[in-house]
Amino acid sequence: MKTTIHILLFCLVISGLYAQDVLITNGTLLTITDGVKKNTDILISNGKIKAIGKGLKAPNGVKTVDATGQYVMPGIVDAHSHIALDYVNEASNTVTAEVWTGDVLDPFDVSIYHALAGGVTVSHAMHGSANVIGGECETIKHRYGSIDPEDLRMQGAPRTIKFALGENPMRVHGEGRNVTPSTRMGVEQVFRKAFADAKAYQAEKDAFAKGKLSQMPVYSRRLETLSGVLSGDVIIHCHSYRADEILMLMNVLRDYGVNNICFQHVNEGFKVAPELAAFGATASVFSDWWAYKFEVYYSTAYNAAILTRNGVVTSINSDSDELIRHLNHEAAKTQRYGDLSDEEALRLITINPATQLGINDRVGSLEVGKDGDVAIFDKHPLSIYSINQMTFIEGKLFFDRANDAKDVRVYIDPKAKYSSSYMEGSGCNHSGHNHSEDRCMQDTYEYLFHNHKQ
Amino acid sequence: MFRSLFIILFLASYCHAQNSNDARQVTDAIFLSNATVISEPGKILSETDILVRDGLIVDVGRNMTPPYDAMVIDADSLFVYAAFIMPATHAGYTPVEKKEKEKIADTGNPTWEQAGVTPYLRASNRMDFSKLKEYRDQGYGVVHVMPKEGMLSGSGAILTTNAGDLSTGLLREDASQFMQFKASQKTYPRNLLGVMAMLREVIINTQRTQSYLKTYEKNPVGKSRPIFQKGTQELFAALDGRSPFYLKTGSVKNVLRAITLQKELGLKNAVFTDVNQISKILPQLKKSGNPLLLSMDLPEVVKQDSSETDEEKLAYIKMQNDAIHQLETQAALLEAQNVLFGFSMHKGDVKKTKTFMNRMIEAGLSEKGALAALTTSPAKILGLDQQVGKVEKGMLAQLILTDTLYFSPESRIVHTLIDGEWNTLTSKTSDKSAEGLEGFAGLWDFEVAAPGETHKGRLKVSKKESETIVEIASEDDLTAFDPVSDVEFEDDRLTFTYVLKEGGQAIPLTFSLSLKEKSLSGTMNFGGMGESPVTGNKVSPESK
Repeated sequence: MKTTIHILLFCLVISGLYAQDVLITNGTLLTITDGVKKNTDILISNGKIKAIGKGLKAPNGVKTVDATGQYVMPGIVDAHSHIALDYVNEASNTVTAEVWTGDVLDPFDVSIYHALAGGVTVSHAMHGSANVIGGECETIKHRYGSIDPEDLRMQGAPRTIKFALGENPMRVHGEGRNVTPSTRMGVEQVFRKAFADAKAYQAEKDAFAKGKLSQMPVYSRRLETLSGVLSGDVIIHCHSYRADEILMLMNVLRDYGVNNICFQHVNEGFKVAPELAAFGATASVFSDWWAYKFEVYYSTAYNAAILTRNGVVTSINSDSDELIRHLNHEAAKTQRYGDLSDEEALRLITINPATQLGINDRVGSLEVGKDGDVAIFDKHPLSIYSINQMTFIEGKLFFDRANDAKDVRVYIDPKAKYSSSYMEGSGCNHSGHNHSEDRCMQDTYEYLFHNHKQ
Repeated sequence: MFRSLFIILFLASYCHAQNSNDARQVTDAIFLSNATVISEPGKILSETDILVRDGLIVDVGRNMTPPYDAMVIDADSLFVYAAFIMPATHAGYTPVEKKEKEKIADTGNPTWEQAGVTPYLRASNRMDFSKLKEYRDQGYGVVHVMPKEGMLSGSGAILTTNAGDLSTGLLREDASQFMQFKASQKTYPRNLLGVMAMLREVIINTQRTQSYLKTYEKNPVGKSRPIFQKGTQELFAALDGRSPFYLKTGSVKNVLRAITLQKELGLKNAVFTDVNQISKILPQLKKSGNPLLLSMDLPEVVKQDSSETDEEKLAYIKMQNDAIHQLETQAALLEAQNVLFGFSMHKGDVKKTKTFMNRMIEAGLSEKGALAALTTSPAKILGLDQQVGKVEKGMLAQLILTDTLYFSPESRIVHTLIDGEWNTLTSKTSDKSAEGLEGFAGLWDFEVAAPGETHKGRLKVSKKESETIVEIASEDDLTAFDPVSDVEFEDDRLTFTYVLKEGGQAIPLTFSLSLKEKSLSGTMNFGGMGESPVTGNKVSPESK
């Protein structure tokens, strides 16, 4: 294994978080959309991939990274994550389409750095699954090192929203607050009522625009967002497990002419794969994680492969600050369970999640004109022995294994008790929550407890 | 017990409906002679006289002749400053009590009020003015007090610290609207996710109503009536910029969120309070153009355990102290950048004002800048620079007198002259925090001088863990002790309340005592009906 990397790069005084130029030479390029290119160079300029080819020359002053013997792939994209968030659930109502995780981004979260260490450059910072309709989510680029949440946003990424089926909303609201839904039937009714309300709101706005009303309707962020869902401008990402419920939501959406949806988790997706494909829905799954609650028992590690073979655009996600560190290995499991090809397996963590987030025109493959988001692995990333060496976002180096600082925290709370950098990353000291557990339900426990007492 | 005391005092209170606090000074004119006057930051006048009349500074100059009716104070050893201004605090504000049993029909869809949107609450209506004395004794003459509950809490009032009530103390009503990222306890929004959404929704709806109202009032024919919520109209002034939003931020993340929200909602007039950790976001802050009020709550430097060998832990302590040092340098940074700033006190201890300022000065803030941040800058931020902040002819008489330059460590505020009222500070005003009462524990005999008669009693003062325990016995039986409540002990001040139950009535006797090594003195307030002097001596154990 040869890991000679141009020493000059490390002498760079890195300024700014955006767009730097770099030439990565002589690597094995896993382009995803255009096959494997051996001994090939890739030039990133002004944050974009400017050229892919052999014998590229570094323009004046542009640094070079020698990737001889190494694998260069597009930055990994995670379609389901809760890192870099101060809060995950606004668990006080069944429909909270008015809230937005982009308001509570936490640029200090060390998990961002750990994700970079796994080659992950983009993640989907999602609202949790406590509510039938949760909040809008934010697609972020892992520009770790800034204290400004604005630097994390992937500007121009489409709006997305979290929906949730099944036990979580039933438990939080039915059991916890004694309101609909207590059953899966109730979950459907919450969707139908919300959509009907949004439609009526939109009609009232239209009537005002046509001069038929003297006053605008009372402004509702919730209904504004839901109008966006109905018009297809906001991509639905729906927490789901059971096949019957997945079919239910597709039926509801069909009634409203919406098909812009990615089913998340979708553990029983393998049962309804043809239906998903026909509907145009996509699926974002775990490689092999289940049995953590009753509705998640009927599962299989072949899920991703079955969905893929049925023509469903499928991705593998982390939903965890631990899994996000090795999504390449998660993808590799589909070769053991389902015999996916290298490219099919890699698509699960690159172009497919990018498609689900509506950003496949910018990231998810090595193509000229796309963002210069790149990870360099020492071995093939689907090998269990591979270790990510460097991670670039728009040409700027954000992780470098050879220069991995002991304590990478951006910010130290002057009043906080001591915690090690490692503990911080594992979430033990972060907002009092443990990330390593499923953060989907973060910020709801207290709420449940509070209400159970009544 | 205390039966006779009760009767006598009851009569006494009848005769003296005005308690001693209401006694007016003999004259409304005060002449400070030959003082060193720091008339404004960076400007020192020596051997200067000041004439104050009816609460105004009438003249400042040299070799002035005191008028015949003035109380003349020989101030040749004293330093006169404009009293300080606290531009954001909740001091003396009494929060609305939560209705514990209130049944909320739908916690997911609360009313504005249930969710914490109460712009109609006025701080001035909920003031305990006695709490402002603490500010006065630390040198503050004017405070801007804001409600503290909810996310749009209500309107702030600018008050003088010497005030006994609203009629004497109000400088400006509806001076601000207070906004903070505070979640509701019982309903939506339960955290910042919902708070941000709800703030937007409330503001946007109010803006719409405000603009619709204008066309509606011109010609209402054929138009539906404007939509109001409880609180809509109270936000109008802040929304069109006539009065400011005071926006509590806190962490650097919240400062940035506040900037985003302000820009998004087009809030024209905003002051950020409780600002922290600004060093890396100065450009954004400068661009926002808002005055900034830095948090006066500064963490102590973390002490290193000498036996600590864990390298990572040691490195952490260093990083943490670097972070604290960054907080200390904030004021210097803003001074260098010419940003208008002062300090806010949402939590923290006003008694630490000087310690806090000196840490800022040590970290690079000039003394001139420090004084400006306590006087002229907050005056400007509050729009009161014509009235307060300087020692100048025509300004309100809001003065403090110190025994040496204020920022020197040993300085002490010896007098205050707020609203023309002369106060002499007897107890120590240094910011020594309560170190417990070891020296004061024991038995104390006291006498209450009720009109025409004195009554004796005994106190047993002790300490249990960190709590101060006070018990009281009357002259009927000096060994039968009863417990008291609301015990507070700080520096040498002991206050507590004993509830006297007589004839089916419960009368609170509130003692406010100053303890010395061997003696005590102070007052006993009789159910708010009157006050009598209390004196006493320590009987056991004997002082060393």
